Amino acid sequence: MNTMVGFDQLIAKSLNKTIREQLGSKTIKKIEDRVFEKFGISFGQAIEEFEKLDIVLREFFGKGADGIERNIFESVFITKSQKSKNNWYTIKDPQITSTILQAFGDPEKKKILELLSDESKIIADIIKKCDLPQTSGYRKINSLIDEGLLVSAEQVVKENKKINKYISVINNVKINIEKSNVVVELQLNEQQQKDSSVVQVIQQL
Amino acid sequence: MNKPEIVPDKLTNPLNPIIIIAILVAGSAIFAIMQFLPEEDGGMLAFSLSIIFSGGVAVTAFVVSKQNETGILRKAYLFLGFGFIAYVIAELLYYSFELFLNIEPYPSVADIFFFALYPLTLGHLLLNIRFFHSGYTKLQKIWVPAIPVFAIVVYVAMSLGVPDAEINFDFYYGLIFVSGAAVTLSFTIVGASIFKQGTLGAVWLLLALGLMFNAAGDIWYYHLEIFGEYFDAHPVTIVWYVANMFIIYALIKHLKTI
Repeated sequence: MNTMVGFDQLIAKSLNKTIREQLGSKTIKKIEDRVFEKFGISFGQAIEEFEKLDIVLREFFGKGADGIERNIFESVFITKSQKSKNNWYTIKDPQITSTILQAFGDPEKKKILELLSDESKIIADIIKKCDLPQTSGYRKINSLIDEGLLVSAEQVVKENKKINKYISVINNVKINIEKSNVVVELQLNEQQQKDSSVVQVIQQL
Repeated sequence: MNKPEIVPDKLTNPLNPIIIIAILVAGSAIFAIMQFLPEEDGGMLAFSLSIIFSGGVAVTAFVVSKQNETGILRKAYLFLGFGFIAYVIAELLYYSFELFLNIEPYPSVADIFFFALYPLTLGHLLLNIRFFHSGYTKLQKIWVPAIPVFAIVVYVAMSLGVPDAEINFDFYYGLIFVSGAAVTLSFTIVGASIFKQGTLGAVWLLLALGLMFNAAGDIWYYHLEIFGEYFDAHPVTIVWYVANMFIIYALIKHLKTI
């Protein structure tokens, strides 16, 4: 089962970029070395398993880690939006906004995300229900998994083989245009809310 | 066969007690030497040491800033560096007036540069606090303003608590500096409280100690100037040197920590 949670994967690149800009390369190198020393993972992996990065940040900065995390999360999304109580998050980062808009702008990807918003399915069923050509269907699904918009929810046994069932990370999405800026609000599914290490850390801040 | 290195479960960054003792011993030694030197030589020694120590802080702060090419630490330590550059300029002016130009250095234009240390150090502190701090607790909202109030009360009591004391220009002039020093100290303690559980805690403890000694030195100095009792070999000069040595130690530790 994939240990990397979809939402964490979706925002990892942006978090990585922001934390490097805010702390500087020398500081990041020290943190990278300690993350590898303690957990045997890279800095990029630590961003996706955020509770591990949180431990190392606290080793160096103590309670100052709260401030670092608050700053990097607030560069990506509005963490204190009222709607975050119901798993809604307003995305500020243009890279993530672009990923989501491109996914919903692609008719085939949009069909896949809509189909998988409430229940998980195996790839063969997704391709069949969305009426997709085999090759491009697999390509689109893999693309959505790489972007962090689809995540493996469970495994089933079919013909003596373990097969993953995939579900969309997003339950709902709202796209608004505010003063010529495109603002994306997304609602995570319940499982993502529980599994995402980034969400768990935000809720403790 | 060599023993494999064990990865520490938790990072530590202890203070070296030998260095702390060395700083205090160095301060005591300088004080002792100054008592035996003729006034002129004592003045030159005080001048040289002031430049060396405050210049040392400025250079080390700039090195810390440069090491962090981008980000908050670069900006914050740049402020601290410029604060101590202002202090160096102030010392150059002060001793030039006193030793070479035979002009009374207090009060003078040097004081503008002495005072500049406070807002620039505050800039360093507030940049760090704004980035790393997650909000003031109820207790902090009480003691952060209480410290400057306490410092001012102590200064007023010390200045007016002697026979024939009067409220004159020196009293008010000193009050400006005492306020600046005490506000800076307050925010240094906030900074130290943010980082205390991490390896940067030791760095900030040293910084807090250094700035605390600096503030104490400033309060004492301006109290002395009210009564015209300051001279180069006065113990207050050593307080400033020890303060600067603690800050240099803090900055070197910072370079090694992160």
